[in-house]
Amino acid sequence: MADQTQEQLLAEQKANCIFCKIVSGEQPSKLVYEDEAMLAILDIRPAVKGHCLILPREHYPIMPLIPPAEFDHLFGRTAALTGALRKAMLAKRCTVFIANGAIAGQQSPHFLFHLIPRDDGDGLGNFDIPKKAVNQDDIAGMLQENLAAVMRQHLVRAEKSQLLAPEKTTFSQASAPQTQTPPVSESTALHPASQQAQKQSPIAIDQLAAIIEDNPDLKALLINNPEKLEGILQQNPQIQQLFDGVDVKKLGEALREKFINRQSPVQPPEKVFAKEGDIKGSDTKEGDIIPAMRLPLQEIFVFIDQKPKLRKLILKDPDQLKAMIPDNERLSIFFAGSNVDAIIQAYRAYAKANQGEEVAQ
Amino acid sequence: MTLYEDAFVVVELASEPAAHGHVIVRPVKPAKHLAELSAEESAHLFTVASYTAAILFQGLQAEGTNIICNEDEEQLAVHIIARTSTDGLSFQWEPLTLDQGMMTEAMERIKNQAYTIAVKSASEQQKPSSDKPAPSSEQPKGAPVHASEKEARVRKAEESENQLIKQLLRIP
Repeated sequence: MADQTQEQLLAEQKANCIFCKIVSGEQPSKLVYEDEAMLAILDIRPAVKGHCLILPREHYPIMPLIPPAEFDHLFGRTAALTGALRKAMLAKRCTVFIANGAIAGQQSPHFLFHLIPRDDGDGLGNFDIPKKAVNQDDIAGMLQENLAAVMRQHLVRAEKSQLLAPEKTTFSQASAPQTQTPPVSESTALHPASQQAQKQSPIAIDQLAAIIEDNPDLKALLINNPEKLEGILQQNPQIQQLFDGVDVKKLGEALREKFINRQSPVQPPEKVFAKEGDIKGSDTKEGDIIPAMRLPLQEIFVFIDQKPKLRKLILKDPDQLKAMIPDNERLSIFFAGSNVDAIIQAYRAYAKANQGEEVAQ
Repeated sequence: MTLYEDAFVVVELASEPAAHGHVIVRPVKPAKHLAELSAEESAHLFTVASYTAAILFQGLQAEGTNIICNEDEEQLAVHIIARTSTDGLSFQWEPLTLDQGMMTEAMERIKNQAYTIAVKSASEQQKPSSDKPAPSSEQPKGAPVHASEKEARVRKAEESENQLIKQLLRIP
C-alpha cells in the first residue's frame, strides 16, 4: 500500500467516500442547493433543524487543496446560502463551522463544512468561543510575516493585486534570521562605497546575506550566473528592491571565492528521491527543494506524497529518517529550520486520516 | 494587534483568545451577517481565513484548526483557532435524530429560499458592478492600467523563474 502513488490512493479514497456517492446520486440525500461545483444537503446528524453541509462536488481531502477558483465559488455562494438558510428557518443568525483535522472535529476525508441556523438561547453554546487570558504576542511577528508573503503571492497570482493595502509591505526588521551573520568580506563586497544606497534598500545588508544563505537556488544563481540574476531582477521590481544598491556581480564573485576556498563548488541541488506520478495542480517541479518552513502545509504534504522513499521513511521508520538528515544535502535543505518531529507527526496524521495509511509507532 | 489588512479584510490577534493561536478575520465593510457581503468579499474573507489556518497549523505545530463564524458580534468576525489534543476545547454538538417529516419540511423550506442563488449569481456576473460597490471588478481608469502592466511583468518573471521567486516571496 505504501508503494501506491498518490493518485491511486486518492482514487481508492474517492471510491469509498460516502460524499462522492451523494454527489453522484448513488447515495440519497436531502439536497437543498446545487450548482456546477458544489452542493448543500441536510446533515443527517444535525445540531438543530435546518443544519446543512456544504461540499464541493470534487473530493478534496483538506481545505488548502481546493483550487482558488473553486474555493472562491464555494465561499462566494456560501454568503448567499447563509442568508437563504436564515430566512428559511426564521433564524437570527447562522454559524459557519469548519474543522480541519480530526482533533478539530473533521470526520470526513471529503472536505465539507457546516451551516447551522442559530437563535439566542438555542442551547448550542458549544459553538461559543471561550475567552481566556492567554498571551499570544509571541506569535504576532510570525503571523504578520507569513500572512504578508502568502497574501501578496495569492493576490498577484489571482490577478487581484489591487486589493493589497496601498503601503508596500517590506520585509520586516523583526525577522531575525537564524542563519549566522556572514563573514565580513561578503558584507563589504556588497557595497563598498555608498551609505545612501544602503538606506534605499528595504532590508539591511546582513539580512540580505542571510536570505541568500537561506536560498540555495538563489545562491547558486548568484555564483554561477550573476548576469541571469540581474536580468530577472530587472523584470521584477519587488525583488529588485532587495538588491537595491548592491553590485550583484561583485557579490557573486565574493561568494564564488569563498566557495572555491572551501573547495566545495556550489551546484544546484540534485535529485535524490525518485519522483513517482505527478500531482495534478501541484507546481512543485522535479529537482526543486524548498525548505519545509517556507511551505504551506498542504504543499509539504504534496511534496512528501511525491517522494515515495521519503514518504515510506516517515510512515515506517522516522528514526532512521532523522538519522539520515544531517548527511543528506536535500533532506537537510528540506528540513532546515523546521521541527522535524512536527512535520513527521503531521504527515503521519494526514496519511492516516486521508489515505487510510497504517503507521508504525 | 493588526496582523494583515487589505481592501476587503482586517486580520487581528484575538485579545482574549480561546487558545494560544487564535486569530480573527473581519471584513472591512460594516456587516453583521455574511449575507451582506458580495460573493467576492465572502470568498476573500474565507481565503484569508484558510491561509491563516494553514500558517497557524504549521507555525505552531498544531494538530488541527477550527474556522468559526457565529454572526453574534456587531462586526462580522471569522475566528481561526489552532487546536491541540490538550487545549481543553470542544466545539462538538449532540446530534439530534429528527423524523423524516421534519427533515423533509426543513429541506423544502431551505430549497425554496436557495434555488435562485445560482441564477442570481450568474446574472450578477453577466452585468457586473450594476449594484455592487465592487472595488475590484471595475477598476478606475488611469493609473491602475500602469500598475497591472507591472503586475503582468511580475507574473511573467514569476513563471520563468517560478521557484526562485517563490522562495524569495516566502522569506519571512
